[in-house]
Amino acid sequence: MHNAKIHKQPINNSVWVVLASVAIIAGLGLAWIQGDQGGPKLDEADTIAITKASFLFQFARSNDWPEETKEGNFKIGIHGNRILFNFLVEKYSSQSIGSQMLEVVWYEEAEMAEFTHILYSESEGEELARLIESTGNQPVMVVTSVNSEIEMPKGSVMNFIVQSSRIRYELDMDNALLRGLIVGNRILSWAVTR
Amino acid sequence: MNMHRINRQIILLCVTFLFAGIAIAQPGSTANQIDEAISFAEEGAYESALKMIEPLLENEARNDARAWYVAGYAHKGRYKDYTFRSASTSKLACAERSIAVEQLLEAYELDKKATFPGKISELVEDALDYLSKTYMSDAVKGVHGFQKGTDEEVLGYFMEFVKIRNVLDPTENWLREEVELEKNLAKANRVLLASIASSKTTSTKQKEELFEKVVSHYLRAIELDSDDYAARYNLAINLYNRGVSELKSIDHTTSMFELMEIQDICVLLFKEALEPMLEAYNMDNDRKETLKGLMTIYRALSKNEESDKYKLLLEEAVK
Repeated sequence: MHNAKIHKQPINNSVWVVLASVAIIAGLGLAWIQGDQGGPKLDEADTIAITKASFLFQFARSNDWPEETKEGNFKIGIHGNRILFNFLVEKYSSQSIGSQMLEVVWYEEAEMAEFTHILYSESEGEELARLIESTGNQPVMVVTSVNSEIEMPKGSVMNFIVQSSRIRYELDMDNALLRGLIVGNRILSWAVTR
Repeated sequence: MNMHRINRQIILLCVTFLFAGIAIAQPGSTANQIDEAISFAEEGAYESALKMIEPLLENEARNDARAWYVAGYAHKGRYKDYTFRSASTSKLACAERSIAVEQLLEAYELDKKATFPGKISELVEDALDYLSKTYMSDAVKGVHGFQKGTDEEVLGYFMEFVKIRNVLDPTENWLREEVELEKNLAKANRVLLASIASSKTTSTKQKEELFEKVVSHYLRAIELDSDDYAARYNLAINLYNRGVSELKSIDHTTSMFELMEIQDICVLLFKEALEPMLEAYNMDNDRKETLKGLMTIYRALSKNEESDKYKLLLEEAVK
């Protein structure tokens, strides 16, 4: 009798349970498939530009310029890298350097049309030479990005180079002094030599 | 003489059966108690059923498949009750389900060993099938409503599901689903990390823990299925993006020392991203996203020649 009872509907799993189970499994399969879609998207930000921009801000903050340049805004001029320019504007344009507001200036041509405390360019060769020449002997920290195997570009004060996949910078101290720039100790200590 | 002896043996046999019958039918006998427990279980009086059956499982009925089934069935009933009242993942519901599975498996094993197996096994299979699906359902729910630190719990549900399925049908293979679960957990951690990335109330340590989970789930998926392209690609992207996010965290408060330190971390992450991206590329070298990934990672590592090589391949693939 009880053996018969044990087969009765209530103790057995009813049809709806089976149907619900099928639905769960089907839903699960769908969930997995959906789950694998919409994976992470590659962040296409220019990491080199971000790194260089961060260094330029450090240069602005940790070096010193002659007194006569401490009026008006503190200007960083950018030539040849619009992404870097945009990043600097976005990230640092509301900051101040000492008592001066930071201003980022874009140069379309290889010529320093107005005085900037820092002038960064990705040009090389003649174009770079022309740009550097336009700065004369003014207290401009010319920053370049030339991966020359021999030496840093003539007239450049700082030059970005790549060492072990990292952006580093080399420094021409004589040129800095010649332009009346006082290189901060921190900047000096992190500079690399070839 | 022989006839007389046969008659005596028949009488003895009848007496034995009579006593056995009395013993079976006697209130309080094991078989009777099991029957009563069944009646209780059928009526939904699970407490009473268990009160009756569970003491027997340790002694008289320890080898009785029917008894184990009834106990498992009653715990399954209680699990359903708790699920109805709170959630399938509440502590009480989980405990009931776990005991139900254990007892049903015991019933299944005993019934398979029996001289005439089948009756109980069929019932047990239905019950286990139902419970296995509740585990799977909880794993899916765990991913969809993912909360930090519940990875092991979700994986645990899935493992229970697989354990039961393997008993019901040893030929079933759930490896593909396990790989997908690992990838889904990686994604769940990533989404959670992205949602708190800019939060200042969440500590760096917590963010770091989430990121480590993302990586470890993808690595496990790769370990389980060495041919999984998506796990490799997604792992590479996550590692790379993490590096970019570190760089983006640099601001006016960052010191020169920190800037150098962040660069070191980024380069390490970019290098770590390169390996799975190259593996993904070797698995399918026509995929544009992999070519783009390699172009980008090499550029971030300032390996411009390599970057240009993949840029060219990407341009050709786009044509």
